[in-house]
Amino acid sequence: MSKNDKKNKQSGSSNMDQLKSEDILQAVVLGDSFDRKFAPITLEKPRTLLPLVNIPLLDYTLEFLAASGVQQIFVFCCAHASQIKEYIQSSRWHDLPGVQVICMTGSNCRTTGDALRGVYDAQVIQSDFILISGDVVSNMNLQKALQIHKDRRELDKNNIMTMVYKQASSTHRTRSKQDDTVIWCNRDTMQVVCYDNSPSKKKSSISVELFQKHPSIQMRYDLIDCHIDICSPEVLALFNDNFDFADIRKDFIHDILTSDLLDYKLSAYVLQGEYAARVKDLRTYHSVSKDIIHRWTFPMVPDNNFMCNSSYSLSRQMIYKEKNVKLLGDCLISDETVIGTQTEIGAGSIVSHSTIGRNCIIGKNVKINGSYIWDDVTIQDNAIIDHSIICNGSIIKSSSIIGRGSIIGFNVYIGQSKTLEPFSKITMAQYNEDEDDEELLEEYFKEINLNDDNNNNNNNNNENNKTNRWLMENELYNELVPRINDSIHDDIESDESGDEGDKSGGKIKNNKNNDDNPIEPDSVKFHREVGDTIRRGIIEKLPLENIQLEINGLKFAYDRDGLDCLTSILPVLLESSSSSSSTTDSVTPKELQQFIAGRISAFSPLLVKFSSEDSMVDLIFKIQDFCDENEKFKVVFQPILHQLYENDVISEEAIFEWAEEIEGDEEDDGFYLKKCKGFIDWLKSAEEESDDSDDSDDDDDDSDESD
Amino acid sequence: MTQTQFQVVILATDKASGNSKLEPIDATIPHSLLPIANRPLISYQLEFLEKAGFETKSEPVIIVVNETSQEKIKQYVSEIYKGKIEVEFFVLKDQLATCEILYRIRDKIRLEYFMVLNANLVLEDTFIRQMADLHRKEESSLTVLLKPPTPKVEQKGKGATETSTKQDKLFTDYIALEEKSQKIVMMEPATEVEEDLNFNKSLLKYFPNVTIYTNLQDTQLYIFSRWVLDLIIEDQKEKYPLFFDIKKHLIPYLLSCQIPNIKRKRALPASAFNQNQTLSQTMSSTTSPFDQFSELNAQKNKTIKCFAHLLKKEGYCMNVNTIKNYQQINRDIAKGDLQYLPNEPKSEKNFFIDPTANVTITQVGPQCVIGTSTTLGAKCSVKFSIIGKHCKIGDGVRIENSIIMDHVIIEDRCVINSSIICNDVYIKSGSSTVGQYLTK
Repeated sequence: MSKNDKKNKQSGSSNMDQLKSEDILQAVVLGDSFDRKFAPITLEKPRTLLPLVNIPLLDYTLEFLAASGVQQIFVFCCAHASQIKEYIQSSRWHDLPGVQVICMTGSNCRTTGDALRGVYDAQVIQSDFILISGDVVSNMNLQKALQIHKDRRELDKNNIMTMVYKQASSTHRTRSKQDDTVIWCNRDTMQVVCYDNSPSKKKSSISVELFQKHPSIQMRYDLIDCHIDICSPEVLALFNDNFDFADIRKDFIHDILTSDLLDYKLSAYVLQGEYAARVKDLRTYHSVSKDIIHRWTFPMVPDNNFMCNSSYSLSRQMIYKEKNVKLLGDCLISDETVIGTQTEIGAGSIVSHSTIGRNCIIGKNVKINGSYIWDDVTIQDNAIIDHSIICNGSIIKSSSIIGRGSIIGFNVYIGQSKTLEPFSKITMAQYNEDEDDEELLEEYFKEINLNDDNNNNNNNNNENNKTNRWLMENELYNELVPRINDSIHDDIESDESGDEGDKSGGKIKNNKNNDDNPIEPDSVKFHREVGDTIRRGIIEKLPLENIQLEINGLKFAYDRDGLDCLTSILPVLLESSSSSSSTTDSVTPKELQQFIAGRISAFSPLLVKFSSEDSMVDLIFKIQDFCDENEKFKVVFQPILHQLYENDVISEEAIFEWAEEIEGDEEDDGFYLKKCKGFIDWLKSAEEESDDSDDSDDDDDDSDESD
Repeated sequence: MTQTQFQVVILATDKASGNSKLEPIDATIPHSLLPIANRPLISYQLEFLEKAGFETKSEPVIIVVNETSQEKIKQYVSEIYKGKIEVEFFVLKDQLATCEILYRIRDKIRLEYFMVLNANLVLEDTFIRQMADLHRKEESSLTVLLKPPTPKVEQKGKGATETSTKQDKLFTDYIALEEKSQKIVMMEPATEVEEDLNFNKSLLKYFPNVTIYTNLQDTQLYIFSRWVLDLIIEDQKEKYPLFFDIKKHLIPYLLSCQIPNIKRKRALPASAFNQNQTLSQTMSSTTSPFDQFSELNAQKNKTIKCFAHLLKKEGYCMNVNTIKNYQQINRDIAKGDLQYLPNEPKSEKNFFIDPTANVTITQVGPQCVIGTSTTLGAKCSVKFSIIGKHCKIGDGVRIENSIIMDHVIIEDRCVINSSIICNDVYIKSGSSTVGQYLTK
């Protein structure tokens, strides 16, 4: 491979001799996104090669660049580099006249910064170039943007980068929900003066000082970051000088804008009619697919067959079919659907709003809605697939049900009549200790048996052929379809009602959405199942790790957070005390207290796993509610708190915060506060002592410095 | 064209003009009577109100004055002013904030809209008309008039900006506009902002593309809808009223009410939500009781709208709140190509000399104004300057780029350059003043 690279470079340099060096337009494509938004799929295949409407993402990017007149494209690959190289070798990019696609590898790269330092070291960039992520779909007029960048640079040498943004409302579907970008730029020069991407913050702020240089500043909340940047060579040099730059957006832009030493300027270019979007996460995968099917990306639409290896044609209702698609019997293909060649769909099946790859076999009476089914997938009769991604080569046996938002990895086998909960992620990838990726943890993998129940022949599956459930928690909003919680979150944000409504709102929503079983909403079901698990654990004396795994599974299945788990676990731990000693109804508070102490310390490792800094205060309130409901526990509220504190489930800060919040609350005459006063005072005094010791430490430090 | 729906309130109190930096020249003269090209400031305001067609027979213009200055201003209006505008004075015995003043005069404001203007403003009447049209057309609750930076001032300012940033802060506002719709989203005086400007994301959702200006000048001319007065009245009834100053409290509050569903400290009165809407709904034939959107619309109507009218570059508008501005407007009016002219007749050579003045024409250069009964000695030269009434200027005096008010006596061979000489000043022979402001 590396030899090939060298050859390419040599031929590149000979080409360069023919043209003036400044005439060559170069682009750097980042073949890796350095994140895990598409895990577990990306454990086996790089993101840039994932098919988007049956065409690999990289092809959209390369086609866009080639169509825009870029002559030399460097694809920088990190993870799965060999796959990308192989793909480029085998596709038409290998020998397309006028465009040279060159692969570069940096297997040790962990960040975009590393990759750009790699590009710098290779010394291939001559002049202004385009830096683009390998998963961008666009039909914008790049030459125009380039010209604007050059004009700006003419005016001021320090204009080293022009970022391309697309104007779209803040609720636009192709806007990744994980971003919350506010861009401040000079109204007249479009120079970016402040860049703020902090979804968690409710406010965006700008320093007043900036107004001295820029009398009028535009504040844009309606821009989508397209991840197309027109850069001058200085950008690479800057990355090389600052080895701690990791991300372009987070580090580089932030540093340039806030640095007093560097006088570099960044500018924005806002697209209005044209299309540009990055497939950033699962949600944008879904929305960009829709955009392509609805032809916003023209000329990059399936029936244009721009990769010259497909044969799509468009029929009414946005249905795209390749040649040799077999539709048997009375199967129903409804709107927004794409079907690849050699695919067969059985009688009675219903396919809607979905993309199906090549060589798939879909049985009878299968229902597929809103899903992405890649190549060589077999789906047998009566299966139901809802808003999921199913990767190449998977087999889904008859009557299986794949819940919404699921991701089925490559070559997964799902047995007969299996039901996958919503948002399941299944992969055949194995945890590999040798891999030096520290962020890839073994606990993300949990073996799951999806083989047919009655079919034991498959037991010859050896060690390397296990099916795993992927347990890494996805960030908020990174799912193919919104989780119910997402939409609640949206509502709350829009009506500003604050956090109080969160939980109750969730329950109400759940009730509404689960019309099928109106008796038991998810939250109740979850509560019951966790309770059962704990009770079983107590009776059978199961090891804590097993209980934890089980609860973790439930947590993901029902999409709950750690706080929900704790509020479900704690009552059971305490309640079983009342049931075990229910014969003597008059348990003295002392006995109860001792019992609680024992229980909590016994289960503390489990509790600690689910507790988090942010939710501790809420947890205390939950305990308070629980005590309100159970008269008996009212007296032992303080001991419970104390035990939880002793076992590191809640921190003293949380207790203080709770005490502060409850102070203004006159509802129950400060009953709980009075109860805990002694305890809190004790905590405070302890803290002061430790503070004192800290202070003395500080003094030591100071003296060291003065030396 | 007459404006019958607007009631005008001119705030001519010390405090309202307290934001000005005119010391020492306004020490002896009430702000409203400062001479500008030998005409008191207030005459310009009455002139543009008349030109803009305000109907004041039944609803006179309300001028709010302090007790100390009331006599002089009243005297001017009743004795010297000859225009058609009817004026009613409201004398303030104590120092009140602007919102409280509005509260006091609430019974006098009866029309659908009211316009509040600061006594330091001079502008062309067409802007008022455009602004009034905007206010009515868009069913605005508040419309403000903003002045874009004039390139001239910027050039001059360049050298001075660094030294005078502190002073400028008084007159600088952070103004956020949604350019497409002309809506104003935020207006914060620079004095109220310390380090960071903060924007709530909820605001950003409704106004995703706003531009924040620091170089727009608030002319302190506001048009309010009548319901705003109801809001002030309700607020004043509270134990701790929120609104004192129109600019610092009332306007930011109204602007924040443009975002729907925001928590409001003071409920907006029911009259805030478009009376016109209901009218148009009942008039419109398409509205039926079964209209599925009516509820949705009702929700939408729970917000108010505020607009900004940007002055066009070529029009004239000036807030007389700094000495620099005061000199500038004197020069501008003396040029004689504006809508406003000095009272003195214009001569061919583009200067204005009262017929009773004792002046040899060759002594006076263009763009000068010389008032009644003023005498100039022999071999004087006057360039780009304004000389008031009843002044006595001795022989061989050179006056350039200066403003000389009434009853000033200047003895022989003085040199006066870029100065302001206030009423009744006596300058001994042979003195020279450059860039000074002299009062008695």
